[in-house]
Amino acid sequence: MIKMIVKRLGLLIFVVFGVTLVTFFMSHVIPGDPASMIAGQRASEETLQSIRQQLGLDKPVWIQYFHYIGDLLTGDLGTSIRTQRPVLDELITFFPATLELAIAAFAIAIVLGIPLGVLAALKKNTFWDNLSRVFSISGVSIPVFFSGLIVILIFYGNLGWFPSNGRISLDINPPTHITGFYILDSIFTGDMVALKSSLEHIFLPALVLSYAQLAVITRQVRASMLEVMSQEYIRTAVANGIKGRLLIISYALKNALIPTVTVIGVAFGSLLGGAVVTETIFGWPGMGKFVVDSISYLDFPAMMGFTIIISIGYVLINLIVDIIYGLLNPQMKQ
Amino acid sequence: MQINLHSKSLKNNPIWYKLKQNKMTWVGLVILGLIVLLSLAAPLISPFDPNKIDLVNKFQPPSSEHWFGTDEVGRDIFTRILFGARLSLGVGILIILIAAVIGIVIGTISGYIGGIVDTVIMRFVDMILAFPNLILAMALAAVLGPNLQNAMIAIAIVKIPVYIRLARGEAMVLKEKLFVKSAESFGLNKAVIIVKHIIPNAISPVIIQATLDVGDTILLIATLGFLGLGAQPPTPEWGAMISVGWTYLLTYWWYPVFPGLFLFLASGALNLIGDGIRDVLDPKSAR
Amino acid sequence: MIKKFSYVLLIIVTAILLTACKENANAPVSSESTPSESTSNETETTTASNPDQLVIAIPADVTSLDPAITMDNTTWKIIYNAYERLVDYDGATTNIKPGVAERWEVSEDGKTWTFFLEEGHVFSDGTPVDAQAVKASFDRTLKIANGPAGVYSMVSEIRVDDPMTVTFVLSENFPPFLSTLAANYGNIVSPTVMEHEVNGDLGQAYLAENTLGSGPYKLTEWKKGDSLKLEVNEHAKVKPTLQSILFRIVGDPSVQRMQLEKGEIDIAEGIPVDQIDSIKGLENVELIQEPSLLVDYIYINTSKGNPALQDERIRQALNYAIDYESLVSAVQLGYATQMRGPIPDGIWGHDETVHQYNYDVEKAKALLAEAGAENLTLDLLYSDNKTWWETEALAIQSNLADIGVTVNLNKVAYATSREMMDKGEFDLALGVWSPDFGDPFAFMNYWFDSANHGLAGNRAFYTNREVDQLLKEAATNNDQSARQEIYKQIQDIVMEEAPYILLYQKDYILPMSKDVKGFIYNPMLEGIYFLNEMSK
Repeated sequence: MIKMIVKRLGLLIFVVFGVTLVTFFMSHVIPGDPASMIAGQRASEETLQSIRQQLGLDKPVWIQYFHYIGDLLTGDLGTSIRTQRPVLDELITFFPATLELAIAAFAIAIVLGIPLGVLAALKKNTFWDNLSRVFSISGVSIPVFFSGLIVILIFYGNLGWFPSNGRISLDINPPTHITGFYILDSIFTGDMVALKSSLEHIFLPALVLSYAQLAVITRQVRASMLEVMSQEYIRTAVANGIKGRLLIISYALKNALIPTVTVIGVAFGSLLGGAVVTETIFGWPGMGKFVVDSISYLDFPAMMGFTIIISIGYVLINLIVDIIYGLLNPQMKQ
Repeated sequence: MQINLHSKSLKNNPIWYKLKQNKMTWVGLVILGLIVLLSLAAPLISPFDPNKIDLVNKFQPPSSEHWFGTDEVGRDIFTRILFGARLSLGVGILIILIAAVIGIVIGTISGYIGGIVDTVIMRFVDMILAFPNLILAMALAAVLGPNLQNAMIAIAIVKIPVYIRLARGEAMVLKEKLFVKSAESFGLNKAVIIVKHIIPNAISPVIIQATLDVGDTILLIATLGFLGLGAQPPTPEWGAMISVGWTYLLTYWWYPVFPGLFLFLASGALNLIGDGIRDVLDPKSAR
Repeated sequence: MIKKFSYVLLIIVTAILLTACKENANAPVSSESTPSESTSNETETTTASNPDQLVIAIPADVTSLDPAITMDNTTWKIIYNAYERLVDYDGATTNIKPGVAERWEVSEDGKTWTFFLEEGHVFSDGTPVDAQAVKASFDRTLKIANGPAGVYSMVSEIRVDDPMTVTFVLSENFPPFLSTLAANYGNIVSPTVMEHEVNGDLGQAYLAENTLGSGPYKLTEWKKGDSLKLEVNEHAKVKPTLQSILFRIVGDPSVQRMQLEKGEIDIAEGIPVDQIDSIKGLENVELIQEPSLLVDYIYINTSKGNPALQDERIRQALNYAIDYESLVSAVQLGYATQMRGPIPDGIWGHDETVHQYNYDVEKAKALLAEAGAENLTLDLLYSDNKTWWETEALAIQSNLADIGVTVNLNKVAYATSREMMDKGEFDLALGVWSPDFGDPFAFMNYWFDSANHGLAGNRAFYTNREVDQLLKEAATNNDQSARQEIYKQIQDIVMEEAPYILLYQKDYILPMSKDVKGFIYNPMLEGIYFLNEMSK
């Protein structure tokens, strides 16, 4: 186990290094000059030169990369070209919002996905199985940007039940910054007004985002439930007179959930990706919007910072998933 | 899709009979078949040119003449959806074909040869897999420049590692098999062994994965199109149509809704088919 | 182990279920029971129903707020009211009125400008505005040497004559100098900004996120990606009615429209022109429509593109091939006027007698035939920077197809298009232009002077020595009527040689709640609000 963790952390260093290398050189191949984006509609060559010089863009690419890595080793991610703020500050501002959204969506996907999967397994090849299948597969098949807009139209436009934009109502002060997650922070500080408002704001985007991931969980739960139920001990339990749905579920589900853990890493990665698009539609002030803007501005320090954070986060989540899986399933350790 | 299912490795297989029992898979097949038929017959069904601009007739609501209405420059949306079907499905399948072929070649080489080659390749695979799909595709498409061809390249790059891993796993198992060992003892060239013995035997899990991936790929292209990084107008690609049309949702609802509906149907049908196939095969490949 | 885990999982799932149920339960309940609904609605709507607060929806977040750096129109509208300038535009006109300077003098050669400051202007941190502060602010802009410094490249020295008198010495005569001072880059920053200096950045990091001026408002809150809030600057000389201004970032036009309809926002800035008609039906909303100085045109690459474009007859043919009337109605729904000459209506120098190309397919074909051009294929470069360019490019493609010219659309990312324009890697390209100051210089000298090839303004890469000479004369003459005469002469030449296809001058359209009063539109400061004049 420890060997595995060390190996993964070693991989992480390799990944981060590789990612910086690839992103850096790729972002410098893009035809386009960040200086021309800053300088305004008409920019003289002198102005462009002066801006390039200030940004260090006049030096050869490999020297720029060398400087970047040097700064990175001291924990400095550089300054965003577009916003003129340190990239690290930007990420600290935007990352919690994205993570909060992704976690909320994930929670909804689990809450809906596990019962649906169990139902489908218990009622295999019946109407209910098919319904669960169609429902969850519809989720993967609707582009997030489309379902998002339709949900806003109904729940904000027509019914007026939920707000359309942002993380919290503009009149309400966000809770004191502890974790950066508004829901957690408002629970910690006992700020019920902020809690209510944040829950209202997160509900629609999280719902839309979760729907896209529902199938991954539902299908996995169904498959492993079927597998577990076909195994000897469940059959024995049934034969020994332990009957009733509840018992079957509690016996089987317990074991069926173990392999489900493995898809969590994959699903979470897709959630982060989907969050980029969801944020654009719901005006959610997270990383997604920030990155799309950065790409169009050729703001490569911001792009680099984002890719580094995402790749670290992704590797870590998969590591945690593997550790949990290893703990649950001692046979896995070879 | 159907062609794959009929291929000889699957035809006389009990799996094929199992698949027949799965109703939803058939629903998927029927929907997909209809869309394919419609798109092939597009010039017969519709009198309109998908790219002909007719500014006088822009934003016409659905009518007996324009079944799905017209768009911002007066093109018939129904016609564009039908022609778009060729493109979206064709491009989706093409991307997966490219990714699968490249993946098989690299994966089998990596798995069969092993050693330093394998290590280097796998580290690269790990690196690519360290990113969420969509984000990597976005970044690549942005770097390469926003057009359909580059979006295809970007998605193919994102998809390749999955196939490398699959093919590599198979190759590592096959490498120890008797027929490969005996081929080696005859002094056959490594390249010949890979082409003649490894690839043909490693191919079926790859084909299964490929059928699962097409629906996802179509959605990825559309999402890139939505973000302005995919197919560029006037190409009648569904994602690009939705991307332009969705800002008109409140005013001219038909513009984004119909391409959206078809995207949903096609991708849903493909996912149902893929799900059915996985269902049938899952016990075999389960841990 | 497994047991333990399943307990943990069970607890997590139950917790999530409970919160989810709570959320779910909230929704229908709040719609049924009136008291809880009204409270939830109040929290949502007070933002705009508050008569002391103006809520403006903007489509994207802003960049650095430093007046010495930003050249971004959206950023200007946030900070313009937090600063004051030596002079200002007078209401809706391009005339100049006193600002911080109560009067000014200019030497006969136009190179020395002296400003006499008014007493009583104070920065938001309590520092008084004096000649030293003005000098420090402009010196800082020049030292930072970003976009705004480019506007003041002819300033050679700034002198403090006495505490309330400051003199600008220019290296050459530059008649539009005064109007540059009224624009956003003329914002005067408090010298105390240097107290916030980090690593010799002249306070750039601080001003990127804060304001430090003597305007009626100051920035009090910026929730990144979400909203910005301006509140009254208690030190300011001008006392406004509106107590706070909220700029809310709403990216989706459909959402903006719904919010406007529900009264959650007062002004919606992100609604594209082809959806404007649907706004007209909303009874709480009025539509501001004013002529703007934003022009939309096509660059014809006269030297680095397809060699056929070096032939004047072919460029004229392209000009005759455009169906201007249909284009304006298709792309801008009629909210625009075809251009006549490069100088738009509203800037002196605009001339109704200048030649205007009309839609004449036969003439276009004849010119092509005369030039011997067959099977001409051209690339049309554009980007996603303007929402309407998509439709425009398609319309142009179809127009040119009618005269036998094939157009390949080349849509690229905005940043890429800027680079390609600078290097001249295109045949035709879509572009927009708006003036930085109210003088024909802002169009003529940038578009046609061969010294400005590329991004600097002459994006047709057009070179005509005679035009260069005339432009220079016009730029250094202080007599307006003489300059007008020279500009007329240049316009006649360039309309004949046709390095551009001049399309249209756009209208400024803004959906605004009927409650908002006192909105003034100044074409020179498009998109900027005179907040101290406004109320609800």
